[in-house]
Amino acid sequence: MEQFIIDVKKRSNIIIYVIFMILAFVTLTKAYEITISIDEGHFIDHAEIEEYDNKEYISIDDVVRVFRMVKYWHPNNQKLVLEYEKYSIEMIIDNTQIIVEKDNNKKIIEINDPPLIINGKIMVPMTFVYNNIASMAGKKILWDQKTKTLKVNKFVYNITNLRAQTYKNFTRIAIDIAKEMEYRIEKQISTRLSVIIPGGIADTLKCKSEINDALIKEIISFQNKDDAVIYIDFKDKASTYKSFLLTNPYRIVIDISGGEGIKVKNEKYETTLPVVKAKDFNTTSIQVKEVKEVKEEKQKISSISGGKQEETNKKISIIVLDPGHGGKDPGAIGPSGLKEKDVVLKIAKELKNLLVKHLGTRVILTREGDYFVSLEGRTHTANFNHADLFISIHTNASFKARSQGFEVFYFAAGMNIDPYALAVVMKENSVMQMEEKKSLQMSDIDIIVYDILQTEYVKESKNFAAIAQRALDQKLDNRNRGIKQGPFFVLRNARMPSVLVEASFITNRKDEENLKSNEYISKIARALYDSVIKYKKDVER
Amino acid sequence: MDFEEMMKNKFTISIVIIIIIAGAFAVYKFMTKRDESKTDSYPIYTKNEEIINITLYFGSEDSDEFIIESREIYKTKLSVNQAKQAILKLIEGPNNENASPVIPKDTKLRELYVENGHAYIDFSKEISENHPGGSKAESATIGSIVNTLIKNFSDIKDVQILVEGKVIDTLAGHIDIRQPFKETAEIKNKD
Ligand SMILES: [Zn+2]
Repeated sequence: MEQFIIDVKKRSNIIIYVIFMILAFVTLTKAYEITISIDEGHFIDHAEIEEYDNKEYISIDDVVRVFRMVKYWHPNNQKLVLEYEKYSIEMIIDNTQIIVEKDNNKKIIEINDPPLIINGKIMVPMTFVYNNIASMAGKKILWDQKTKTLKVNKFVYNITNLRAQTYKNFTRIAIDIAKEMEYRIEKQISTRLSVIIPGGIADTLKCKSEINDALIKEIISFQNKDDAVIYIDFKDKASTYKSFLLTNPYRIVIDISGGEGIKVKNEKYETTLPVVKAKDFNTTSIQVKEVKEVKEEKQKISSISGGKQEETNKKISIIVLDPGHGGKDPGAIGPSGLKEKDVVLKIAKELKNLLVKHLGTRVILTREGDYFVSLEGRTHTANFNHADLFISIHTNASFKARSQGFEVFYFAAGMNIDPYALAVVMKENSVMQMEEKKSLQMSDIDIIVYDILQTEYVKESKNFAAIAQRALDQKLDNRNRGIKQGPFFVLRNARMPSVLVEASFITNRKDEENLKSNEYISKIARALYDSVIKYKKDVER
Repeated sequence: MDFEEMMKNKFTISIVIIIIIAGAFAVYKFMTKRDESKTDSYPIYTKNEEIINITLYFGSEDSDEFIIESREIYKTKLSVNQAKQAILKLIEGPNNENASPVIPKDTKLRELYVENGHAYIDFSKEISENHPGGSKAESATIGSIVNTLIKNFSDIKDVQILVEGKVIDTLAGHIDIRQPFKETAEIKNKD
């Protein structure tokens, strides 16, 4: 009786064992050979992939060979240690937690599937190779299912770093790119800006920021097939942005300002700027690098501003005159039909003659005849030619015919300038980079940057405006309306002292009559000529 | 084909025709109704509402200051509808002989909306095409709009001017209007 029972037990054990073996065999038979192509096919290797539980596994010996790792196996506690470049990876069979150590920093990482022992061989999941080893190796690992080829290529990041800096009035994000790259910015949801860089490979560990200032929550980057994507998450959905590409080195700069335009939004702005924090084991090294960079930047900045101050013996040798309107845009029209575009061209030409003849300065007109020139194009002419002075010439208009007289405008920034922000912006936008841009691209250049840049010249612009207003007062028997400030389009972008002269009111019957006479035109030209002489003396003193 | 069958066919055809006509009529009714509701879709005010006073800012020929005039508008539930009434009054122009209008002829208010304190005011193209030009008139136009909105409606913190639904560079070739204006006094007398 007892014997029989044992027999049955034994027999059932055998049956279970056989069934298990069959199952095991079925699950393990899905093995196939793959090709491993390393560094664009410079080195070809082969390995065997086995599917277990519908997941692909590769022998650790193949991994060790392909990536040139050193393997230690501790059979007593089923522990596998891999040494790979600066990393040490500890794995335990059947355990999804692995320990990665680099520079004495240990970090526990959860992987998708555990390493296993199959048929006496240590196998690791392919996901571990794609996800974890790839990032440690600095290699791009692609699995081509069709050709059964594992492509292991050098990971060449072309988007290497991201810096986010909080300024008093805006937040600047600079994305370092290896070459000139096309990018587009999409606002798919109201609180997120997506920067999409086709063909970009971002170092996602560096291209992120937990900035968390008044405007921005955080910035992350990831790979979406062939595109690198950077998400910039706003705090306020009304936030606006401006972006532009800078060269030498190439970088995409995105300025985020609050929904209230250029008003002060970042109240708690920092003057020490390292804001990039990486979550992973690279944390310390990245932070150190950032701090160092900021220090260097600050030193460079102080040297830039120091240089500026020493540069006292300025010369007024190139002057750009801008006769307003032209072509399809007649400007203001007088009661008897006199057009602003014609009057201002006359004034500009006469002023040019005086300056060239008596002062020997180089004078460039933004237009020489009756044709249309864009507002950007006018300022670009001045910037491109390194003008020392920019004078935009107009005649004024009012809704009723009564207003009379002359006034001179200079630029109002409309924002509080943080001197540190100014210095950084100056560095980001050196003269060289500005000139590399074609006039057509000028419009997308950050307005804030230009406001800050023009602010640098506000003192001199105001000085010239006052001189010109006085000179006009001496020459013209008309109403002196004073000097004023405003957000004028052509002055905003000018990178030199600049003013806009409203010589008289073309809409006023008496002023229009005056503007028709060559004598009056000459008086205006003469007054502006006198003011250039006076200003030149002041500056070159 | 016998008579009965012919009648049957005719009957079917007429039923089909009736259905088609009825359908067309229904569609027509529906379309016209939609059109009616479209024109009525912005009831800025109803006349049985309380009346409140607001201040309009008009131009001055003698200086860059604004000449203010008081107007009555209906106190609507939505303050944006009060703001729309104010702009419509501004478009109508001043009563005071010394004040000058600030909105060019034939300009229409296309839309006005306020979001998180930012007002977006959209005018028809005439605000630019019929503008007399000149820095003086251009700043008067911008200043009056911005002042009228900001000084009367505390929920409006800044104003972005749009033309035909778009942000444009300038109205008349001088002042940059690509960004919102917070205060009018962008042009200050510095003397
Ligand atoms: Zn003009």
